Amino acid sequence: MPEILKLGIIQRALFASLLVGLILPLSGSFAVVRKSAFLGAGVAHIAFSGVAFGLMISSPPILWAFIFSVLASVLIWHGGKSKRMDYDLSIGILFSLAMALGILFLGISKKYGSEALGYLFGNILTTTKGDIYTLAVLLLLLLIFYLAFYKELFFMSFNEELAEASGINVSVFSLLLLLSMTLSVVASLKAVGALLVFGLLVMPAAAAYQLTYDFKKMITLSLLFGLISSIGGIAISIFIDVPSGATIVLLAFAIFLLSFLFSRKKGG
Amino acid sequence: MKIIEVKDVSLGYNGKAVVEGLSFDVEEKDFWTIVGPNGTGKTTLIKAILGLIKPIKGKILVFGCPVQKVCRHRKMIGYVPQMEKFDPNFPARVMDVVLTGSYNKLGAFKMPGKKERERALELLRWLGMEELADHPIGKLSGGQQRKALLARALFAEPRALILDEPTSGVDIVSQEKLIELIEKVYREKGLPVLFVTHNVNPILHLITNAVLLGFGKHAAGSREILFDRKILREIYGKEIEIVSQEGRKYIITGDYHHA
Ligand SMILES: Nc1ncnc2c1ncn2[C@@H]1O[C@H](COP(=O)(O)OP(=O)(O)OP(=O)(O)O)[C@@H](O)[C@H]1O
Ligand SMILES: [Mg+2]
Repeated sequence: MPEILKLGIIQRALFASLLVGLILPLSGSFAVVRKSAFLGAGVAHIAFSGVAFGLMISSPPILWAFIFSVLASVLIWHGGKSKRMDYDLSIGILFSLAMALGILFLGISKKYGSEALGYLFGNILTTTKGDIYTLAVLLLLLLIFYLAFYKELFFMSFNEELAEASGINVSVFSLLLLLSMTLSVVASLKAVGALLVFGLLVMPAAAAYQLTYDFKKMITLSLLFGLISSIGGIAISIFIDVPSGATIVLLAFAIFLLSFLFSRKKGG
Repeated sequence: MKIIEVKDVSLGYNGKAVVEGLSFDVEEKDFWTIVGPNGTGKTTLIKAILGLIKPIKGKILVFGCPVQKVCRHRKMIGYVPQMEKFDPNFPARVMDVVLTGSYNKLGAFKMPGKKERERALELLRWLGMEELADHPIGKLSGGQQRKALLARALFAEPRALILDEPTSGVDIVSQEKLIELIEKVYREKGLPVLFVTHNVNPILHLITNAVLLGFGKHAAGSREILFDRKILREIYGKEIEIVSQEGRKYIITGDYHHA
């Protein structure tokens, strides 16, 4: 492979990881303070069953990942709204259902090949220009959404009842938050994989959560930690030639561990 | 002008009624207290007035508007919810919480600025907790959290105040201060107040009307019903003492579960 093309791949990988390193911790910050981070893990696995379905019927996998996870999000949201199901429970059920379906689809299509594995473990070196544009547009949309409705989102994260009593449409904003997280997860699937996407969603935000009582600072720190993990993780993976998803998440964990040790919030 | 109209309302959960056929009207300058044993639906009533839960039967109007519709009325009510300890690690400081009171006035996309911060500080100063402005809300005591929420409720100069046991868990001195503040707002602005409590004595001089909720029974009307032994016995299921001292009446309810 010509040297110049190789550089292109690495540049694309760096760009993609930079974007994913911002997108996931941004959505993750809201998930962490709302104590709904587990939703992210659920959505990632549901998205993977969509990928398997797409591979089975030879249709774009990401499209099906998107359809599956958005449908599941709306179901989870609806279950939570009618107060008949706790988020935990509906996610747990959909999570296992999704994995069973995913395995079934892969079994039927007899495609255990590298493509399916790519979505499970992620391969940032396969990101295309199109992927990068998609991620960039998503990041922009997320920034606009979170900035425009920061007040509402902060208020309802603090106390849903009080927010609703003040006239905030908590139900609609919960759905929007859920969808924004779902989109973040699906868009990051190819780069970091269904198994590791949760790490980048939760760990930078959880690390930031340990360090401050100021929500704006928490989001900023979370973004910073996400960037360090993703860029640093890529660099390490290229340097010692190991899968990047693993190094990114391990770096995020190292940051979390340090934050936990130096947390201001010790002792509850 | 009628501010809140509760018309033959039944309330409950999953089709099971907690309160049945309750009616009363709250007018300007009214000070209503809502009392009754635990679990008789005081909080449920308040949530229905705020439009957070749907009545099984009947109608509630606030500023002439049915509460189920999301109209402006919610933004005109200052509400302090019943005691609920906040997550001690939640990333919000007292100032951030008080400033949520400014959100409605600011409207979409705008963030609170210097003017709002000053007003928040002024309210906190009034409540004697200015120095706690940058303190994490979850790390305050229950009483301090109550005061922060009252400051929040008063921020936007509401046109009605709904307070669900605002003084429970608050020390005697702060309780006096809190009631003094509520009285000041009540008298100056002439806005109606709904005050849920288990101890009416500290607010007896303010009360104009009362809703008494019991299990399967209720009474609503002028303050005199608070001194009606027969009604009190029906609501609480036991003899309640009313003592007169230096020209003031006191009600001894023995219902101090939160104290
Ligand atoms: N979300 C809910 N789902 C089902 N039942 C509920 C719910 N909230 C309250 N209840 C029931 O409704 C009844 C009234 O509750 P509510 O909280 O209104 O009582 P309360 O008068 O405010 O009591 P307290 O003095 O303890 O605050 C109780 O029997 C309670 O068990
Ligand atoms: Mg109550």
